Formats: sequence, structure tokens, C-alpha cells
Amino acid sequence: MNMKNKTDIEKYFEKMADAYQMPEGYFEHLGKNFDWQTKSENNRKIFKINTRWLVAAMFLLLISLGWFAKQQFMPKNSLLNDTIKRTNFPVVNQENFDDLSDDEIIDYLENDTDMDEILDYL
Amino acid sequence: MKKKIDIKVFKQWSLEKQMEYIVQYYSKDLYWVIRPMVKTHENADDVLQNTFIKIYKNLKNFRYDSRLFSWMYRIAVNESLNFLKKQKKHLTTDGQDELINLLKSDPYYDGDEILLLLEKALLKLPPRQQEIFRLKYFSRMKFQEIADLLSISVGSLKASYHLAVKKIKNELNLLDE
Repeated sequence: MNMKNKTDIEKYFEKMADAYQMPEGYFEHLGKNFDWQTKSENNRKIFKINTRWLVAAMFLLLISLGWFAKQQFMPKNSLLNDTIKRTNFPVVNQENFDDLSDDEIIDYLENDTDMDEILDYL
Repeated sequence: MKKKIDIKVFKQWSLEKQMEYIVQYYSKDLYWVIRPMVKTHENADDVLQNTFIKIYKNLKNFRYDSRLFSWMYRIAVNESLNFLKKQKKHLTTDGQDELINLLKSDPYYDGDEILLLLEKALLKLPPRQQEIFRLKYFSRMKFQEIADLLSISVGSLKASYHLAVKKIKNELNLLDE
């Protein structure tokens, strides 16, 4: 054994450590499935995701509700009705209708008149 | 693979999760603290388990004044020393020859006669110098890391190391004659 200087002996020390073996894969199963988040962090993370989707869903819901409301509750012929109310129909001033009040005529137009007929007339 | 963790995050975890982290990420380091002390793989495995039990029992009382690994390192060293003390009771000689024989018979030791002589010379060093050796070569730590772990200056650490090398060289020269 020739170990004259420090470097030589240090090489042997390295070999000394390398001589120690471990069964193959002895620690390989460790450190693979570790959940790094704390419990509170996990909760917060889920909460963040939920909030994001919740807000997006609420927006969509509100927009669709508004659209449906417009479709459902706005009178289909509201524009036409307004026009009828505002316009002086020639028919009102014709002879046969002289005895009718304005309200009666409007009532008549709204309830009994076929709208297609009025449209044709207009 | 070790992932460094903020001690504040570590403190938030439950005891079980803290232990899970320690077992997964410090097993290998602690094993290489214990193995060169108790020599055989079988012994190292037993002592490592005892070390984890002790860590589990005392982790609640750990005040985080020192580094977590320093604290675990101390436990591992003490457990190894206790193990060797218990073994000495069953041994006929002072224990060094017995340890070398154990090492020879260990299937997980791959050293030749020269390396066994070095092991023998290492066992004759004072405990502190042996400790520095183990940390430098078996745990593959740098001088600065060892100094931090043992709370001594790098200067005195290097002095101890060189003294140990000198002693080993003397020992081997004597053996050569």
C-alpha cells in the first residue's frame, strides 16, 4: 500500500465509502407520492377554482336569463301596439265609428282585431 | 431527490404528514449517518427505524431553534452509539475487531483487505474525528455544511480532519512495518 501524500489517502477514503453497498432500490420507493400542499392551501386552491367557475357560470346564467326574459315577457307586438296608440287611424274618424270613444276603439283593436288585417290596412 | 421546504409550511402540517416528509426525504441521509457507525446494512436498518421512532415521539417538542436535520442527525448518532453500547455487552473484545468482522461478513460490503485496514484505523480515531470523516465521505458533505451541522468553525474542522488523516497515515505505516 503506497500512500505517500494526502491526495492518495483521500482516494482510498472515497473507495472506503464506495465499498458500502445498499440493497438495490432500497430507498427508491420514497419521495414519489408526497402531497406538498398544506391542508389550508389545498382548501384555498379548491376554493379558488370553484370561485372562478362559479363567477363564470353566474355571468352566463344572468346573460341567458336576461335574454329569455326579453323573449318571454316583452309583448311580441309591443312596437306595433305603441304605434297604434300614437297614430291617428283614419278608421277612427270615419263615419261608422263616430259614436265610439277612443278607449273603446283601442280596446277593440287590441282584443278583437286581427292584427294581419290592421297590418294590411297600414 | 430532496425538495427543500419552508419551515413555516412544515410547522403547519400535522405530525403524521411531518413524519411522512421526514421519512421520504431524510431516510437516505440518515441512513448514511448511521451505516458507517454500525457498519452492516442490517444494523443500519434497525437503527434507522429506532431513529424514526424517536423522532416521531419528540417532534412535538422540537422548538425549531436549530435546523431540523441537525436535530435528526443528533438523534441518529445517539441511537447508533446506544446500539453499539448494547452490542459491546455481548462482545468479548473491545468491539473494534468484532465490528470489522461483522463488516467482512456483510453481503452489502464490497471492500478488500486494504479498505478493511483503513476501517480499522478509522475506528481508532477519537469520536469527533470519526464523525467528521463519516460526514465528509459517507454523507458527502462539504466542510461548510459539516461546520454548520456540528456548530464549529470551518478552520477547526479542517484542522481536526488533517489531524485525523495524519493519524490514519501513521497507523497504516505502523501496520506496514
